[in-house]
Amino acid sequence: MYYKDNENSRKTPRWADFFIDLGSYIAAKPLECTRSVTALFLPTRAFSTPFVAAGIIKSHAKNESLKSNDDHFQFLMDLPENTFVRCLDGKRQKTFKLKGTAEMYGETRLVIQMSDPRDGNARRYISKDYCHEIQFMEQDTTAGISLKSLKRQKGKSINKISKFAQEFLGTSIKTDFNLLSKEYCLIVGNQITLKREICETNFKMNMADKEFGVLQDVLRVKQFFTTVQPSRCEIINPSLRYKSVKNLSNKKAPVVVYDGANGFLRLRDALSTSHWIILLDRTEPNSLRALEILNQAFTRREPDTNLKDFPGIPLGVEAMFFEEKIN
Amino acid sequence: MINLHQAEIIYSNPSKLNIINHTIKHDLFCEFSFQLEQFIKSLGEEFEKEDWKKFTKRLKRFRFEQHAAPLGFNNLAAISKNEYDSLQEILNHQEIISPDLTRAGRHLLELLLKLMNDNSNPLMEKLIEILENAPELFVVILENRLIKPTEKVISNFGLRNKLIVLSEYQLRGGNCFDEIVCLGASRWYSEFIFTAPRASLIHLLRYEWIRDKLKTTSHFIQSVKSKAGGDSTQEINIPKIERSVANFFLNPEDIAPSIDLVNVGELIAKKYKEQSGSELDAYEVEARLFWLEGRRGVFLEETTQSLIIDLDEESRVRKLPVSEITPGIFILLREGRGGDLIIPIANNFLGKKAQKFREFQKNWKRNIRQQVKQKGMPEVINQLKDLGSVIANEVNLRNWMSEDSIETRNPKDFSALIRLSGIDENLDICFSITKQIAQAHKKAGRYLRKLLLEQVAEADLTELEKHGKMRFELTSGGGRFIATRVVQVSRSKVNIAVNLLNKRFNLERER
Repeated sequence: MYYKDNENSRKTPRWADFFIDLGSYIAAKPLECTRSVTALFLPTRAFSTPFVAAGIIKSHAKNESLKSNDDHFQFLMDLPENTFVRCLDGKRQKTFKLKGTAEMYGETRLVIQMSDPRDGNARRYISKDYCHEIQFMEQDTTAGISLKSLKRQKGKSINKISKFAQEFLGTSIKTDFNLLSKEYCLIVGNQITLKREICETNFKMNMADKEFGVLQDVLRVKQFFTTVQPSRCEIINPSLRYKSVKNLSNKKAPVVVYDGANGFLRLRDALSTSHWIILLDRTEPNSLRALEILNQAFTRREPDTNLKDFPGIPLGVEAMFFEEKIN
Repeated sequence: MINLHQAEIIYSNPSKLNIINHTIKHDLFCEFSFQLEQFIKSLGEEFEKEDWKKFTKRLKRFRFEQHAAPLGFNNLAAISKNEYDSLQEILNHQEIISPDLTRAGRHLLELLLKLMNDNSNPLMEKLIEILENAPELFVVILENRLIKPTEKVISNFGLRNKLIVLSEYQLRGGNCFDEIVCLGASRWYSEFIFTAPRASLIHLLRYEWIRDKLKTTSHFIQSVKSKAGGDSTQEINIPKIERSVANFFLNPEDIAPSIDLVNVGELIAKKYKEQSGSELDAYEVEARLFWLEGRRGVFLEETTQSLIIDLDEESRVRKLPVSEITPGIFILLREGRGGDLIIPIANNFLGKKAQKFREFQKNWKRNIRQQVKQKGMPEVINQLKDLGSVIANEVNLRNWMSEDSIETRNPKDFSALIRLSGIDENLDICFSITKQIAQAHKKAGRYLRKLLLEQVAEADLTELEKHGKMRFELTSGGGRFIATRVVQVSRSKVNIAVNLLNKRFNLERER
């Protein structure tokens, strides 16, 4: 991976790989009765959170792509007729009604319909290769939708998956990555700093690539989209009130990344059902308080923590890892 | 904001870090430093006497500053003729009481006078020597109050563009330097200077009699082992200290003037109690003493919140519970009259009614406090319960008596308090007054926060980062306030009179 520094392309440092690997490692851990707690004491927090989050998303993207076209096609075929679905129509995502299957050009295709036959019918026939463009809509999101109203819909503009994101995630364009929201990571940190790191630093996977991407292509942070887009990450401010965090619907994200001690010190108890990655800066005054709390928590850890395959730690970084019961 | 290239340099520094020790000799300063140490030891119990405390404190400060900054021995910023004379005065005063100690003290002052007439500046000379092989050097000055005098000295040497003074705090960000210089013992500095270095070459300049060893230990109970086999603890290459030619060593902690905050806190509390005597209005709260930049101190009430500036957060001005304030955080305090920022603004909002309302508030609280003094806490709690209070207990009663508390959550508690206080006023009017005060406080809080945010957002905070304190003048009647860095927090709490809260004072004077 390379990043743009003024007009030059530089290879991303090895410590960036550590953070990406760490994110993937934690995301792959099961989350049942215990959660994993990973604390890092760093020379600087800069870019650690975006890379960790990128690792988390990458790990999930790998699992997502395991759902083959065959499986997804079968899943859609099994849905009852007239089920509402979302489907890409050009660059926009629109709502359609599933109308069963039809045989065309020697293959079975899914039939979806956007309007009444009187309004032009607007049927589309989707082959297996493009079936990931169709997403099932939960029933509670379809109340009040009628074929008439569908005719007038403008749809939602969908950002296509950038080349950088595709190559980084090792995924094909034929997934629901940019079509369906899935909260895999909740970041507790300063939005201004993180936005600069996530949206304003350019990356590419190969030196020869002309086109750069940004980590936002991978992370799809809800707060950093200018229009509503399917997301993979959310960011909350560390100064948010404990009560409002406790009531957040997205606190179910499997991994919470604390970018700095502030968020950890204030909000950890409200986010206790996720894996925790705590990124502490050696130069920040309140990191020591967070270290104290983490060391206390370590004494209550679950026995037999498995550290197999924990990524190699770069010089200057101190790490602690343990598992604890979810209360 | 640190860009990725800067972060790359920061991460690469630990593996490249080279620390060069430079030891400096100076016979006269060596003798002075040693004799001062001997003198302090010989004081024994006499050390607690005010005269000797003052005498040694000033000499220790001179000794420390000469170790920690290239001020030069004859620099008036280090010690003035007047200060020297006042030290002589102390000895004159002690001549008959402690003749032996006075003799030793006079010897010390003779050495000091010789130093004051010595125009050498060994630290500066060493810096110039290092500078021969470097285009520029960044000198990290430990105590921010020494930054300006150091810059003046550097300027007098005509080296302003080559020797650049930094505070520790400025080594937290993304700026990295080729070479930095730390003066004195490495353990005087925050650990991150060496474990998260912003330079790959650190020069440690110290007088040869300072015993110095930088230990870096793991911060976690159990760090994850790295693939290489060792744990992930930072490994720093600190060269062994050369065998010193000096006949004695001084420990860094003996040189750096320390302040026992627990002791100072208790002393002040005791002193105030003695002064106020049996004054019934002297209401006390549990507070913690904070050591602030520039050797100032402040008591903050443990259960309240304080305004702080957080340079790492989006919203730079925010409230933080006092119990969560740690060294390095910038707290905001009102300057001049009173320590509370809210009350005068709230009074402005209340207008003409303010005086009457405040009088009412003061009266009922004073009456309750008087009853507590006379009857004791348990009796007053029982009476409040009899009068219909729902949650009267020791903690709540203390809170209600506090000047910061305006209204109770449950009207029944407030009604009981007013009735017990014997205030001759219609209850509905009392409720109305309290409600208006509370509303004015809320409005004042919002107003003040807005003003502060505007000021801080517009301000260039480099001064705050470099000098550890910065003054702000609020427009529209907000008053003046100071943002100042917390250096240390007292381990224990102390009961202190409310009127001592939130006011900065000179810690050195109280020590």
